[in-house]
Amino acid sequence: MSRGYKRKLEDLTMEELEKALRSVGYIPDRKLVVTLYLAIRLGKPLLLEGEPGCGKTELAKALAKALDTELIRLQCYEGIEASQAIYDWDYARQLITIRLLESTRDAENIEKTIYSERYLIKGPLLKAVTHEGEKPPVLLIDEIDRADEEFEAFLLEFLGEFQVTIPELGTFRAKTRPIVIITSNRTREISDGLRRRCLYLYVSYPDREREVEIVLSKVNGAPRRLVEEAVEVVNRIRSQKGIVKKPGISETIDWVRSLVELGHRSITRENLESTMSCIVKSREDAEKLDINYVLGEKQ
Amino acid sequence: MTGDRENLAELVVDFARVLREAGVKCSIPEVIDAFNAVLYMGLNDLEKLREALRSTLVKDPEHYKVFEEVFEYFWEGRGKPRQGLQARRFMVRIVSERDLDPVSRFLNVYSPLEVSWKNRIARMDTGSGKRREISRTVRTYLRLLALEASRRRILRAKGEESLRYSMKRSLKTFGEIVKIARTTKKRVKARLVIVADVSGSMSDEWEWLYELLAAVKKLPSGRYEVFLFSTRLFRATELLETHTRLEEALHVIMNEFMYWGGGTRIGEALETLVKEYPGILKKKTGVLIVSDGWDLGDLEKLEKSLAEIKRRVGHMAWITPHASKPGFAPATSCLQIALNYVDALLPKEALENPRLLATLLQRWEN
Repeated sequence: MSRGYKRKLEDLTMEELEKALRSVGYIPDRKLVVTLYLAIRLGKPLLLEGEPGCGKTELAKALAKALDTELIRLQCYEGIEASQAIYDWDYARQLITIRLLESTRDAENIEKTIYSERYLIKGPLLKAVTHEGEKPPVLLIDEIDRADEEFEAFLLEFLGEFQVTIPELGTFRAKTRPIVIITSNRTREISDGLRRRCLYLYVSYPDREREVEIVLSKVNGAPRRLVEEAVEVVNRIRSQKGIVKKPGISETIDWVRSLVELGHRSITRENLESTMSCIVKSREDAEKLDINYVLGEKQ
Repeated sequence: MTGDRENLAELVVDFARVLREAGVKCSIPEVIDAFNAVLYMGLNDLEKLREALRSTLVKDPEHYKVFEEVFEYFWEGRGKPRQGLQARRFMVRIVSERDLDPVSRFLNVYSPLEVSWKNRIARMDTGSGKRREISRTVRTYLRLLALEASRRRILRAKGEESLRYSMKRSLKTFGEIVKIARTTKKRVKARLVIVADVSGSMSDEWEWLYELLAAVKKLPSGRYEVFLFSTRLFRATELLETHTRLEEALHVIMNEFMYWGGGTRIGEALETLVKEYPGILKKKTGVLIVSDGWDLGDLEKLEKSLAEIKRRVGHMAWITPHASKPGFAPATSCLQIALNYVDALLPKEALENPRLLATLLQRWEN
């Protein structure tokens, strides 16, 4: 039984959005709720930037669950091409069909057959545009900063019109605009053109209280005191100078989960040292980590 | 109701204009978005109004602080906008000068050593350096960075057999595979960014820097970027590319920009690099910062900027001319901070010997 928002999206209020997100275990802050609500209302993509592990991707997943709609994910990577994002023809099937129909010698019919939707492999963007459900899907374009600039330029066109043109079949236009969430870890600067087309929010680490709340909602059976101590330690690691890969919320959750699994009730030097790999993920950072400082002990 | 809408539209446009004057770029479509957002949020709840305007008009977290100041001033914290152009201008001036104390402003424009530098450059012997060695080493450095191939595949006669491409091609010949297509992974060529300190404390290294710039100038256009800094950062790439002779390019830089010598403000220079030239800092980029690390600037800015550069580029090395001297230790605060972020702290000799460079970078490669 889904716990998502059942009514029409037009009736959604900001308070209901926040409640729906909380009901699926995502604890948003006020800024995020207002911006997300506006993105849904104005039909604009939402560009989320911030440190890795701050819950950007998780937001799209939670939103789809909260609104009881489909999540369509486009994971960007270096070298991704438009054909992987929109569509590609199923060449193997097309070849088999050509062979089977060869004897008919009806070129026009063969062409019509092999260039039909049956032989189309839909990419995430085309899936989002041709979505048939009552509610618009959530389209997550994840880690856009990993894709090349050419791909970003191509996305500009898509986000402007929400339509996809396939020369052999014509133009597909979205009946209801998908809710688009774009995430970036800022490993490179996103173009001004893309920024202009989106609503923007920089997601930083949550304050201590909210992080405690998030961890408690994600890790079943975690004692509050342990979570508070863990959050305190993680915050100290983030504030230590020279640490390059700062632990995100997901690392805090993993760490607390590990501590609970190992049966620890509080954080000691031994616990921290034995489970450090959950929160410090590079050799250089591990070497630099000042354990006395992060445990709040005097030298 | 129409009157209310018009008033609201005027307010939003006015706010966006003030924001623009304070240095935040916001286009007309963004202002329209802001207006629509404010229509949803209304003016009663100041926090909602703040988020509505911020998410639609400000697309760079670096501008959040300016936005807050403009917002507080414009809406006076009571949901009512402040009126009057004069007051607005005054506020904009505060925003634009807020980070600069009188001493900073003085240091930013005054450089007592520039005149002596010009004389020195005029007398310098520029023909007897280690240009060839540096040139070879720089190319080796770029090759080391370019080892990693992209996931994108391109057709190439000597590549691996690709069934997918072969089938795609065969559609042109009615399903008949006439020739097996071959592909290889596309190699992305690495770019080099030199950020060189030309302040007074580097005066002993001028000849060497000259040779480095001459070697970099030999690289194909588009493969390198050169920035020079003392108290300000200056992008010298275009001048180097457009002048056939390096001497001429440097002459123009010195005459027109009155730039050489003076104090060092590495933090401010790197901050400018990150803010003004974000498109240059990419994964396939190697950044070489050439400086002795004697800094008069803001160390916090230095740390923040180094962390940002480190996050964005493939490799970052700090070349210090003193590293090969006996008894050298990176004792200055600047180098202490740099050690936390750079992939390698190298002596200048590393750029004169490809093998030495490869050995010194071995740890990074592993």
